[in-house]
Amino acid sequence: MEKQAADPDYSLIREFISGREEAFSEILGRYKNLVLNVAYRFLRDRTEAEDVAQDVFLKIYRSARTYEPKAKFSTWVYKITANVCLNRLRNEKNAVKSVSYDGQNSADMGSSPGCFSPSEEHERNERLTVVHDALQRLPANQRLAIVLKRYEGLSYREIAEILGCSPAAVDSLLQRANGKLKKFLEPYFVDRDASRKGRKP
Amino acid sequence: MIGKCRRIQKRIPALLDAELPPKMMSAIKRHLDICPDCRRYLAATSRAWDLLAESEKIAPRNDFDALFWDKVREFSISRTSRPSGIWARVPIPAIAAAGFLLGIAGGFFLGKVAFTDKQAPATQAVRPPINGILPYLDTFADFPEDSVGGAYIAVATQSGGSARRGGDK
Repeated sequence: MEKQAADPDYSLIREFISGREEAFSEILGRYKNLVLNVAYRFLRDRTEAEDVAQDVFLKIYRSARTYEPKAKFSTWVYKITANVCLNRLRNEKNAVKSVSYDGQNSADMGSSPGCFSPSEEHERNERLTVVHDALQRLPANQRLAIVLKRYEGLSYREIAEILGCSPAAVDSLLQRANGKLKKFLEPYFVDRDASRKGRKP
Repeated sequence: MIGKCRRIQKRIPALLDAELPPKMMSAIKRHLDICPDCRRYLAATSRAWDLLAESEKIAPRNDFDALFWDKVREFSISRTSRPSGIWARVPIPAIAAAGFLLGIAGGFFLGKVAFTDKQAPATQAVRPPINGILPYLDTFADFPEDSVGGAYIAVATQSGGSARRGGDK
């Protein structure tokens, strides 16, 4: 009961259930960035991520009445997001789709024009491409675990709750994912180090 | 040492995430102090993570909220066009099953009525049993005399005849 009172989102949901639609606008405002970015990092497609985020909020809107505050509201939101992302991937069978990074997506990935020189900008975009390629090469569940851990900073226990498995299983998922990521990314930073050393007099 | 290093390296991501029990954490740190291979592994892992962290966030489109509320309105319209009151609570498969059963019952009833109507004049036209034997014995009429069917009709006719004779008395 204390846990419910401490979660401000729970009171918003209660207000929404009791008929105040504006409460849902607040929920939307609080969580749209989170949902969108989880979906984007998982799917690597801005349009699809936007679609997923819309679906997630529609699901929350429809099933707000069934929400039981056993866990934090944010965990519930992550859970719905994870399910929608995995379903999307399953439906579209794009797990092995090779992603091409066009200018639009590179811009989405957070390049801040004006902060870098053209060569730095190019190097940074190249790095981001390598990182996202590496992420896309992971199996769906490992990728999701990495996104939730590395980008959202969730604990193993929270990830376990979202993915519906034990913390030990999350540990093993992340171990495998980290091993693969290190393998995929190592050649890149070894080459980069070598080229940097070569540049030095 | 190699086996131990492999075990330690498996735990390095959890070490960086501070998800290990304190005892194990200090044991791994002690090993890292003396093992350059595992230190290299640790450095490589944290560099891979640094690379991952470079991917920054995207912002939702300006019309994200408006688009969402449009979808909510569509959803509400589709919800109001659904049956209301008690019918909304009855699941569609239950309605379908009830309709199916009603169809079978109705069909059975109609079939029975039609069958009775057809059979009524026929019962009048049915020939009375020959020699007190049921009319289906006619089925065996065309059987050759030495066949099983022929033998059966011969026996039946005989006993029917005697029955009739007995009845005449």
